Amino acid sequence: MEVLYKGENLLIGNIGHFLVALAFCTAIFSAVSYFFSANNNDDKNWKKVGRISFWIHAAAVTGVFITLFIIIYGHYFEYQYAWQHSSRSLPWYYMLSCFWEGQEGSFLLWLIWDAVIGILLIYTVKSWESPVLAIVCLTQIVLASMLLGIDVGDIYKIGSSPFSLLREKMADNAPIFRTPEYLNQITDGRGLNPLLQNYWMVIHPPTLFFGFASSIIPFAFAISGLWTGKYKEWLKPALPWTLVSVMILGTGIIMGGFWAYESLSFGGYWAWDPVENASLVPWLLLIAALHLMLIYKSTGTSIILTYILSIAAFLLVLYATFLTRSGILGDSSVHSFTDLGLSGQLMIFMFVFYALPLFAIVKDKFQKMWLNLIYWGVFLLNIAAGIVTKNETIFIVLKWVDIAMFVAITFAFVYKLYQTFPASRTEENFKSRELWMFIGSLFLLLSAFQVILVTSFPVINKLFGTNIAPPTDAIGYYNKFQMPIAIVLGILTAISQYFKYKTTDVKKMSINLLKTFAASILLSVGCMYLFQIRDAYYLVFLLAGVYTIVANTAYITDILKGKMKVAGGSLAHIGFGLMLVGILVSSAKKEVISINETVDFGQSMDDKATRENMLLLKGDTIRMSDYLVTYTKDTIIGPSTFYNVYYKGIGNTDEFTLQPNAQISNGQLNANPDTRHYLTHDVYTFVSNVPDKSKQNSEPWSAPEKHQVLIGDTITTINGKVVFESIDKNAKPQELNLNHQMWGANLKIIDGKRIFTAKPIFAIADKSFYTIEDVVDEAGLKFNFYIKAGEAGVAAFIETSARPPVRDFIIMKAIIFPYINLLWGGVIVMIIGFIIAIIKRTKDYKRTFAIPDKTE
Amino acid sequence: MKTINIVILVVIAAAIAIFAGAYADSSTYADFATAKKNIGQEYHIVGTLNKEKPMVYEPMKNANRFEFYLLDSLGNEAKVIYSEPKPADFDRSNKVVVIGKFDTPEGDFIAKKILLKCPSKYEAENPAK
Repeated sequence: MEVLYKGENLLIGNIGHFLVALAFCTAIFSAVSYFFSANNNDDKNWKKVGRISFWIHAAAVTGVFITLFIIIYGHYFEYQYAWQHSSRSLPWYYMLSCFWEGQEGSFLLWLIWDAVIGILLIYTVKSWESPVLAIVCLTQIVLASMLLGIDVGDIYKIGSSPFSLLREKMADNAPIFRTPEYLNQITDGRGLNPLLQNYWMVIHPPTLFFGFASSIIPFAFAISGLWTGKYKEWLKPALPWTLVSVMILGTGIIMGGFWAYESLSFGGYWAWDPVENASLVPWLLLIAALHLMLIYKSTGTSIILTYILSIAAFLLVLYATFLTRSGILGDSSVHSFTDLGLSGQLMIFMFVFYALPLFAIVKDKFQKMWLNLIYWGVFLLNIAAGIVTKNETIFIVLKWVDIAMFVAITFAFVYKLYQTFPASRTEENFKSRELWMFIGSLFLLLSAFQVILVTSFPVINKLFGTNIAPPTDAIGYYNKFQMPIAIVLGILTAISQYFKYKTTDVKKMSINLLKTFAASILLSVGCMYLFQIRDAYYLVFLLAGVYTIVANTAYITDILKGKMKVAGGSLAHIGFGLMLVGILVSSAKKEVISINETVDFGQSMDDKATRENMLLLKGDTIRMSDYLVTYTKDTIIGPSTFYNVYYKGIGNTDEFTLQPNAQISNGQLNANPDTRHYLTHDVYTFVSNVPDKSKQNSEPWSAPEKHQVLIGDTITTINGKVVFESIDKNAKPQELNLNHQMWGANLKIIDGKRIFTAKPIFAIADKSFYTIEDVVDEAGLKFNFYIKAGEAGVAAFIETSARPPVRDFIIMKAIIFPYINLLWGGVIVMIIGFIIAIIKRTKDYKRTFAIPDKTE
Repeated sequence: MKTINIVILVVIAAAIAIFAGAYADSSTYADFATAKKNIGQEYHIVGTLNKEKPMVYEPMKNANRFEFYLLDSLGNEAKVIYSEPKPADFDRSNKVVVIGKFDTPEGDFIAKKILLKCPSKYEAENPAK
């Protein structure tokens, strides 16, 4: 039976649906127009249509964003997205974070950045507008399709709309939607994941996504170069953009690391998690591509690898998206991913873009025909099989066909590249800068290769039926491969600039290199003592980092004569060197100071690593390294409990209080660390477990035991000793306005080092008596006091009952990260270097237009 | 032979070494029986929590020891010892991946790391609650 629902605002969702459809259609329209413009010698009319469509597209995308924001801001919980990701109490800036908690919002973010980039490109790339924008629009088509949410018959759904109604998504299992007034029952949304309620989470995802989105630029330019046959001219306009892309993606990645360090409690800024890796690999490739572009610009060599890397960086962004959004990482990542059913679409996305370079480079009509025939044949075969059959064998055959096709496309493309750009006959010169930069780029590739290979284990398992699990000790495993590569990269970064393009005066250069190397050794020895590093391997790493810093600093002062305008590259390299040193010292010398020395160690407890968490009872003071640490109190603020942990330095006046906090809900504990920052080190603290106070008082009291006592007697209970110190003959509590005589027993409870007092009361009222018990929860004891007149005079009795003491405590971990500021400082220096370089390259590029551009 | 070719060959060799090294050092998904056969070898074991047997975490005695019973994919059970505090959302998780090894054939499984898979958001309680 059809139900008429009340109180729903359907208009706004319909506007949203319409805008998504509009964005999708205008992207297609714009792509087609730009395509014809590019294919018809930059045809003015087609271009104009393309441009107008793109503007409408950009407006529609912005509209989608605004619409969704209104839904979240207005708390329209009839919409699934608002219900799932937001709640009424959320401040507006965290409503932005709601966008990236869900997948649809993330795609939307990407869509917006691409639209912004597209508009910027339209007005800056001059003659490259048509081909480049055609490719940008192609990504927009695919991205917009992710948000469509259109059913194709019963079998497949294209995209997942952020404007779906809650009752549509939940229709099958919720009786609540049988009532027309169901909205009255939904008073609030489920709220945003508390981990995302952090200012870094407001700015980190947009930055990262801009980095991802901007990787389309080198890709689009490279494809356009192949497509239009202007094979080399694209490098100049692409160069400043690639710098922007590298800078912002790098900033986004490190912001993620900083967020993890500041608000996640895994104890560090980098964990080699698949999600982190997936963003790191495109970045490494973009850096390599950037260096190759520079080589090409100055010497005209290594064009082939420039093409491959510019293209591969974007393809890896797509692959990374597939990895993180398809749910395939399931067992190997701590991030929990849900598959929205978009993985099929993501695969098509990759399928199309992977073949794009080959389509662009093949010019021969006959070859093109075959390529089209085979490629689209396989493509349709896949789609048809997906719709028609469920037969396993067919899928297995198809899988191998697809793998073969991927390999074939790769080889065909590289072959065509070699055909288009015959290798030069000249011998590369060991005295040339380009050779060393080239080698450096190859090492970046190796680094990227290792990371993506290990991250792809789940994919490899799925494809080939293998059973490889990620390494059990991720950090040690990655370090084993990445450290030597980083050492080589550090050294290359130090020496390469001293070489000149083509060839170098070796004598002059050697003197410079030796001078800086000698200085670096001296400085490294100093650092060795400062950082207390003794391990030979680490020292080599340290030297590589220091050498990078010294050599590039000397390059700026001696060779560039301090002209900062041209020192962008060197400055970025100094930043890289600082990062290397910072990473080395902060991780190699990272020290867990909350090592538990008090427990009874069993056999498996010998290892220090197995007792890194410390139990701190409220009020107790425990020594950790050079600090005396006390858990003083806890305060509940909103959903979080803040635990005050007071640190006092031993032998110095240093003292401070850290407030790590935790949100406890449904048995879940989200712990956020608190860190004391010093110039030379950080003291990092978080709670790894806290008692559930609601469950603690449920234990029953033991049967009471009665002891006859004299003053000064000691009673032994299971929870400590109790000393009967004296009798207070005037123990009437002030708040009691009774004319009864009350005697209290002054009791002292000694439980190890902890001392409590109690005063149970015996009261006499007219002709009867009663007792007032005293409960000491923290000692787990309950007392009653009796006085009885017997034959042998007056006797006093203490009655005790025990239960497990309620001890407020935290279990915490404290880590010292020394010199972590070198890492953050290095990042900032690197960013400044990039900004200087971007300004310079943009000027270079503009200068070429001082002579009127004939193609425009 | 040209310099650049030598360089490229070296890099390809390094890539192959990485490939082989990555494979050699990787772990495998396995069950308790396999792990017991290879004492000291670390494995990923995917399993479900045996909620009928006790989960022991007594922070007062030892804050760094958590014990529970896990059923692997074949239904075999083993006691798992984890030298960290009990993960907070442990009770809610329906699927647990433990990474670790057996030190002796009779001993317990020593987990170095635990990954929890909680019920996906979409399967969570319906809004009427």
